[in-house]
Amino acid sequence: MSEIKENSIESAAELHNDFRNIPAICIRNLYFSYQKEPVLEEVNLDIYEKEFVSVIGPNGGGKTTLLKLILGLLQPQKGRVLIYNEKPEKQRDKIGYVPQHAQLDLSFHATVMEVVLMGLVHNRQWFYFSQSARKKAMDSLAIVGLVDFANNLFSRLSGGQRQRVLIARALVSQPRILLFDEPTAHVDTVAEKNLMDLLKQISKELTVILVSHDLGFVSQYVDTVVCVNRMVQKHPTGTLTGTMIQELYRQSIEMVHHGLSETQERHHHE
Amino acid sequence: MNEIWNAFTDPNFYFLRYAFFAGILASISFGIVGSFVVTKNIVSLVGAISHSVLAGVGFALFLNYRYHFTYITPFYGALIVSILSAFILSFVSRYLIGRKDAIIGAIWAIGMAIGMIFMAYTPGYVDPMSYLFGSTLLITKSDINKLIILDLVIFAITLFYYPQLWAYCFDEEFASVRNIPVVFLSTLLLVMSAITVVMMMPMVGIILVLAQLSIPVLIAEQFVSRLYLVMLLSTIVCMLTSAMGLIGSYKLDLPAGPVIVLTSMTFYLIVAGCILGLKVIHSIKSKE
Repeated sequence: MSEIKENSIESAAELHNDFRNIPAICIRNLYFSYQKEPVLEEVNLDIYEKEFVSVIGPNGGGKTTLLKLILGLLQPQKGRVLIYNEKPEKQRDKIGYVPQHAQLDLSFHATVMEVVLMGLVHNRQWFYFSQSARKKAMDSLAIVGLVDFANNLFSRLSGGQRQRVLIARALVSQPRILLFDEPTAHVDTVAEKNLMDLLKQISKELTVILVSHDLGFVSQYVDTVVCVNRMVQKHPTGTLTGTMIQELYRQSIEMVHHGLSETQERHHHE
Repeated sequence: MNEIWNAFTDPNFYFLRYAFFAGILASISFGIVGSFVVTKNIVSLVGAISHSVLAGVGFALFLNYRYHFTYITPFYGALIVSILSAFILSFVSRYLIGRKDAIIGAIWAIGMAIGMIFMAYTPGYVDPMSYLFGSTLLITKSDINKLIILDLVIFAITLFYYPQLWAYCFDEEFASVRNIPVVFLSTLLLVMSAITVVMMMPMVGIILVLAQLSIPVLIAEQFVSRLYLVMLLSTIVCMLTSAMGLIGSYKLDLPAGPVIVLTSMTFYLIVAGCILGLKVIHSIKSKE
């Protein structure tokens, strides 16, 4: 990890200057608990436009809770979450959400086009989708490289392809923020790399936040890392050290970076 | 076949005609609601609603016979309790933390227990079997009219809310993020199921209704994949199995409800067997 730190030239302030200084997401004094024990407390976090952020932390540390609070699916018990200065419920047209494909029931037979069009469903949506809606869906599928699969069954696709369809579904409503819950879970290594390349591409236009377990891999791509374990700390990727990660997970862990473990990396440099 | 046609047109066998039309009309609601229920995996919730309906039937019979309070017939008693159960189950399944499954099971059994207690207190002999397993003799002309209204209402709701219900069934969390009112939709779906169950109660009974709600959908899913096509095909399958089951029950002099359910099950086993056989043949051929 020390190599990562040495290679870094950007401090948090410098990094934020690269963005337009508009906090897309602003969290202040957030507290949330399901029962007695707080899951998140004293959380203060700003995420800026077009920032590419990875949210990491141990299981039960509050990553998914933080994601759901940003989505407005959970309400903070103290403090506030603002998306472009409004409550998340009022800004949902600006948020795209990509869940893990494995969470979906594959016995539900839906075509790829139907899944993508779901991203355009609203309260007054009528039975039939217009031609322009279908065109938008095809455009989204073009971004993720699945135009030829529009009429295929979603359940018959590979894990990586299903995840791409869910990205297309999130993109079709033209959001400004994209939230991912473990986008590379349950996909093979090649699909994982392709997905991250795609996300990097997307992050040039949008604010992208992804919850991930695999920091070593995603650190090649993201600008900043948000460490969540009840409290929240934000670091530019390059300033993150192995010690910080070990403190976060409260145990000794082997960091993997650029396909090499820290031990391997040391040997490699020697 | 002549014998059945003669019975069907015989003025004395009016109940047979009512049962036939009730089966055909109820199939429309069954196909539509059943498709949502099966794809959303809430068959057990609808099971709890259908069984709790007995409480409404028992209470209405008790009021009718003990206090001559005839404004609430068993049908309306069942309807009120089923809708109440739908609201309770919608709340339990969404907001209760912990053993939801056990609570759903308890509601399932408690409804039946209350119903049986009221029936026991009802003067005279009340046979719960016709409510539990259906009786074509219970179907009246007004039931046919009610079924027509129910079909129209369910069809209109589905047409109006199809994309939202589709989204809710496929990915509830994402639907919430899209500001789709999932709490309203889940309650609406349970209320639609409750009303459908009550409408079909005279035909197949509150215990067997689950099978007729789910088996035609399982058959339809073997042939088509899009939800609206599943609805269409399961409606046709439900119509066929209802009509064939009714004919079978008349020929064999057996209660219609169980024969209809077993006809559906036989259909399903034949279809699933054929598809499995074709897959085996295909895999053998591909190995060669």
